Amino acid sequence: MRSVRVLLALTIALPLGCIPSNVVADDQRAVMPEPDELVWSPAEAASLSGLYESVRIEGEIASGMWKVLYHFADNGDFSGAALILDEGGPAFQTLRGRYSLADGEIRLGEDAAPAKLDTAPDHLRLRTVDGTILLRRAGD
Amino acid sequence: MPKTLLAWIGLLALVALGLGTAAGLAVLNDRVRIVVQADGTPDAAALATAQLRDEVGQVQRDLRALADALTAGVQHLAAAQDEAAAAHAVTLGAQIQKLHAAHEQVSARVQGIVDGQRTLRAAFDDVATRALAAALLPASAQPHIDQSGADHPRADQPSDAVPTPPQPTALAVPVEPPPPAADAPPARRRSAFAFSLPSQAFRFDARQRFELLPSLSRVGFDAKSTLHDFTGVTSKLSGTVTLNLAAPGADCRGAIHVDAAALDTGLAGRNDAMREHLATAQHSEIVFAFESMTDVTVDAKELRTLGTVHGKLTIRGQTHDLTMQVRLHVDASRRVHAEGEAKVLLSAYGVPVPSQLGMIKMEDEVKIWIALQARSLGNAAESDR
Repeated sequence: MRSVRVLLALTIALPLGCIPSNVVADDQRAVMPEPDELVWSPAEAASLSGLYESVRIEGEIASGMWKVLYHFADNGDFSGAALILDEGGPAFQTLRGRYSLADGEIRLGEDAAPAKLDTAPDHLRLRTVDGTILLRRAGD
Repeated sequence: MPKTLLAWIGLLALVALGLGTAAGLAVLNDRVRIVVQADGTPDAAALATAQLRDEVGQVQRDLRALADALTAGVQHLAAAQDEAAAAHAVTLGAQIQKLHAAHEQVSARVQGIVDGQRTLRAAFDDVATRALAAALLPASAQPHIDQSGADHPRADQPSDAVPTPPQPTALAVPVEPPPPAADAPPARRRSAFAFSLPSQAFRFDARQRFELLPSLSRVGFDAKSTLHDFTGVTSKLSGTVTLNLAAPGADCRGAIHVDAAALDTGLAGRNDAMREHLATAQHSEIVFAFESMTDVTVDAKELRTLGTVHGKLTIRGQTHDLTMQVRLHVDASRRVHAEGEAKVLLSAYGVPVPSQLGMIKMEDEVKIWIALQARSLGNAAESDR
């Protein structure tokens, strides 16, 4: 009887022994952001046209702005939608207007303060003292 | 005779002529200068005029050269001034932007302080009113101070009742109504990104409510067995936390709800066995509810907080106290990261410790861990305490 138990144990242990340990290391537990390996350069007007969605928002604006989309047209029109944390919770804001680009800065609206605008392949980056928005092309 | 007379007269005439000539030369000797020169040579006045003309011409040329040099110098100075002004303008612009950012931060803080003062003043007035009324009236006669205002028609609602003017009494205590601005939503500001953002920015030192982000969070456990060790992990979780990152203390509240059946150990068969042991059909959630935080260390500059969270862990329907060392920090996206781990005994929660024929078995003690990310939902309400 004892030999049967040993045999059974070995039968179970052999396949289990082939299974490697898969303990997650302490520094691998957190969800890590994708590394930013983009090469940025000052924006040119011709490179703006299209639909962009935010993939990262940093700085003071990040606490109130959760997600943003911009659409830039060739004729200088733009439209945007942003998920903003309001008093009653997150709510979308939408807007449209005209944008202008000069000296690597973009003005979203005629009376808006300028924001630094950089481009990388299929990406835009808007920067102000309030924060940075990294946008990825989401369509034409 | 006449010939002799004529001779004498002629001689006298010659003598007179000679004397006259000598006298004339004597008189004119100092007054007349005779210069002998060649024909066609200019005189002294002409020479002086020509010399003066040359000198004037030289002076004119010198003046012209000086004027040219002055013009070039002025132009150079103007260009240098333009460059300096442009550089100064850039520097001033950067300083203005910094000042603008600092001003907004200060404004937000001042607004928070003002709101706090108004709340405190309203609370103080309320307490003072109640205390004064209690002191002046017997219990049966104390006026009821209605905080809800349910018995009073609002100004924006019609009322059929004839309004009765307030009757002054000796016990009337003037209560200053709280300023309407205290309940008004904070002002919004228009950003360079074209959207109107709430003026209330994320604050490390304010009591705020945070929402867990499942897509950026993971919880799990590390287990040891006779043959190999393994980890179970899941992102299927939810929960909210309310705390002041700069002073968590006793005001730390919240809970993490984990879908127990979603824990994945990397092997389908092991997952099935785990669900059986955890009785996920009856107890679908593992819950860690925290109540306070002690041994707190805060680095406000780096936006980091360390401490020991005290709470209750519920597994398989059984609840026990749990303490966990937790590290909190705020990233560039204003998300709060929470990482920590603690050891628990499966047997304490009624979880059968897996064993194969008594030879291959899992250890009773497992290490549970959290790697969470949460974002602020704004300042916490009083009801969240």
